Amino acid sequence: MKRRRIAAIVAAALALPATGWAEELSDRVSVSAFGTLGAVRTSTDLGEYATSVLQPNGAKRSWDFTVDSLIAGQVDIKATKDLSFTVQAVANKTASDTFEPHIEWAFARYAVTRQLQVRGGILAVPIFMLSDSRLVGFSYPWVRVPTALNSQVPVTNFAGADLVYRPSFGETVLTIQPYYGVAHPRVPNTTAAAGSYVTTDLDPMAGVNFAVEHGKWTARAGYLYTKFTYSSDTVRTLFNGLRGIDRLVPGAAALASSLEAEDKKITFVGVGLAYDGRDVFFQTEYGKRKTDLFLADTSAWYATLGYRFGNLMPHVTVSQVKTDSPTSQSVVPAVGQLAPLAAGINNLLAGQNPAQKTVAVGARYQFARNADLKLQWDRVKVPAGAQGNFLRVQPGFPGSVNVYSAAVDFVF
Amino acid sequence: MKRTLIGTALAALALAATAHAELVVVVNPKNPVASMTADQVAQLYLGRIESFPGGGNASPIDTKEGSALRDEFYGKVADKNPGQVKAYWAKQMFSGKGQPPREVASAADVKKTVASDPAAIGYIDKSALDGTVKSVLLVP
Repeated sequence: MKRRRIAAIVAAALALPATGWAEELSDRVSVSAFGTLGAVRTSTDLGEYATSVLQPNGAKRSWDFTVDSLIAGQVDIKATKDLSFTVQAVANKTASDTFEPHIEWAFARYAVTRQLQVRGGILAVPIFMLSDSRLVGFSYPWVRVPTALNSQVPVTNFAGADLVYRPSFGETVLTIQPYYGVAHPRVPNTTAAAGSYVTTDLDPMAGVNFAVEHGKWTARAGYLYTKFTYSSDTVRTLFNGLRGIDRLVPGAAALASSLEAEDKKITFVGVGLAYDGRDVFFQTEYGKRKTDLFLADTSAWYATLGYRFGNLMPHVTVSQVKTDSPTSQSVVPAVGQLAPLAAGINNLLAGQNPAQKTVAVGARYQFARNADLKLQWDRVKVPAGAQGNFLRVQPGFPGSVNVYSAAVDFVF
Repeated sequence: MKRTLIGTALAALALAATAHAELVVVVNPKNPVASMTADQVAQLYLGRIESFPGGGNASPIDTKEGSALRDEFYGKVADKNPGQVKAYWAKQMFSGKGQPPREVASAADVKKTVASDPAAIGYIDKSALDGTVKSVLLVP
């Protein structure tokens, strides 16, 4: 955030001849960066702890530095009084597992009036309380934003446009933010070779985000609507199999149509409330996902309470994910030659069960103006047959798992 | 090392000297705003609103990070400790919601900037108040 100094260095590096230009440039361009060095391990080798299904693998019993670590840079350019540009590049663990930097955001913002902005480009999907700052560890108390809720809609950005209308009434500021666009998140294909992924379509992706800020209180609500397409060889083979046996097993083709992910509707409704006082920090969110495909319907929530002792904040979080739709089918019986197909469909459904209950305690210590240290212990209870946040869950997976995390976050 | 020690000692002295001082929030004498509440000033400094109560564009000015004046201002007006302010701006900046107030080198520079810029708003020690700027809020 020493943006003027960094901007001045950039200006100097560009070797601008006139200091007047450099001064002007440093007022118009700011370069900043943030990052996290995180370590996480769990108490089991029978599953891998990841922040969402967009990560290709996760942590087991040995310390893993890839799940939470990231580095990001941001450039903000103020072109005129009303027009500005923001580009954010991030290197973190995504589907390809290479830590290759990607453009997380690249948008132009135009202030139509003082209260109304229109933005276009690659933008954050505003579905959670912290969806657009979820990578900025320095700005929140946990090692990572509560995965129970955020992993229900793991897509982080979209290409499109939004309107941000922010009228204020005395000390109360309202935000109304409708958005529309498309997204193509890469979902790792955990049954294929390492590093392989399926590029999915969320087209269109639209919604609206409301927020009310009053002093130390923030309340928000949001609605997301999208049509989702996910097509891999594995699921195509299963659905073709179902259609092939429709004459033998009535309802099999209908089952294929109801499960397959071809332009299928997904909706998400979320609400949240936060209080950020001098001493007390409180935040809670609830969200409900409904899908017209093999992905489960879910409801998820978390609540966090923290207390500041100067630069030290211990906190406790309770969270839960419930699966609201069946995770098995009874159309295709597991008998004779049908058994493999029945097992394939049931595995597909059972593999989409993120149910879990977590209690987490942790602490954030801001040891420098621009850096913090965090420790966190999560006790995750996963009901039989569910995976919670874990990838590649194997038989014998324990009903409760300890997740130990440590992180250093910085901004500059 | 020596310089750091002296710097620390000076900072400690400055802190001791201003810890119980009164601050004033000041604007340009041409600014029609006569008075503001602490909440209105906090909203401006946190970037939640960008204009004065009357509607004029506002450009808040901060002293350097770590200055006792600045820490006291945020503690009393926004009820936030320096770490909280830093974390708040990390969240705003890196979510594309804006940039923190412009920083100037010293309290004297705050007064100079406010005296010459009709849109500026700043905070200074009450004892430094003179006719070049106009007080809109006394922070005891």
